[in-house]
Amino acid sequence: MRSEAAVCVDADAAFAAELKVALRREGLRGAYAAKLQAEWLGHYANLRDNSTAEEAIARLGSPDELAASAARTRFEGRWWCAWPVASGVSAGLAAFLLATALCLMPVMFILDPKVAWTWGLVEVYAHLFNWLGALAGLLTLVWFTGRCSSPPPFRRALILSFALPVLILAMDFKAPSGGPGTGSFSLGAYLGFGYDLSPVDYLLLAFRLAVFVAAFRWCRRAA
Amino acid sequence: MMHAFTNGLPELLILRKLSAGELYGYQLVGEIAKAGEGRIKFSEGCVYPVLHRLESKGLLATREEEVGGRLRRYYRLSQSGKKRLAQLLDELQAVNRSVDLIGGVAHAL
Repeated sequence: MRSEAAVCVDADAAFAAELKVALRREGLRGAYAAKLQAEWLGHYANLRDNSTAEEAIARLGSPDELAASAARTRFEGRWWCAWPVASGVSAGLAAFLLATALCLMPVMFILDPKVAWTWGLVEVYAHLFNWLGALAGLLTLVWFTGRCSSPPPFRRALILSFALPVLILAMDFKAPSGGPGTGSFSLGAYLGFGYDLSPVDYLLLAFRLAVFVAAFRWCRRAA
Repeated sequence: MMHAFTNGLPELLILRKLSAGELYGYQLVGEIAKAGEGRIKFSEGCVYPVLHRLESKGLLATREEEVGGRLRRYYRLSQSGKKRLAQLLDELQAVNRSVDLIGGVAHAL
């Protein structure tokens, strides 16, 4: 038979856990969510001094109500929250252009498009920036947006509109016409524009795709 | 009341209550409920997002203090908050005057 005190502790812990989940579901994260949660739990503890868990929740509000009211207060009146999908896609494309300028474009200029692929220092550098740079960009974006409050549709649209073009470009690993990072090689091979993929190339592509799929799964969990 | 509470009234109530001195969240909710004599009913937790919004706008200043193992965050009005309160009270008075005028016209008809 469990004691009454243990049941109370369970109810309080369940309230705290539900609150945390509800805040994340509404897109409230980072320091703002932590501050809100601390104050709500403090208020709840004060109410619990003189009442049951049910009475305390009835006065304070359920975790879902609290999170919804906080999200409304936080996001209302902000233009980018009024159209979260459109602004998310715009922000994702802007982040993609920034990543392109920082990682992909330098690689395109460094490598001579007509030079055959070799494993020299420059090519290794290109590999790192073209593929791992894009992957690092994706993970950084997910990590960063995971610490900032935003409407969930905004964050999903932002990550997807960044990840898809980056994924396509990062599938280039040779230096054919256009150079790495242009998407020309893998797209050209798929569309039958004269680029041939060897079995090793297919293996490399499959490996990269597997890593990106793993990264996406991690992103979904993090979201 | 909930609908009205989420549409601007909480800001006025909070600023008005804090104009008398600093309070922490739990205290503030209790003071508003007591002053409202039960006419103002809302989910108490809704006050905190509003407090944080007012704080981020610079209308409120805060300090933290640990009491009995619990962290309390005290809120007080800043200079901007005092100006904002005066502005909101002016707007409320203007609305009241308009309502009175309309009532007078309706009565005359």
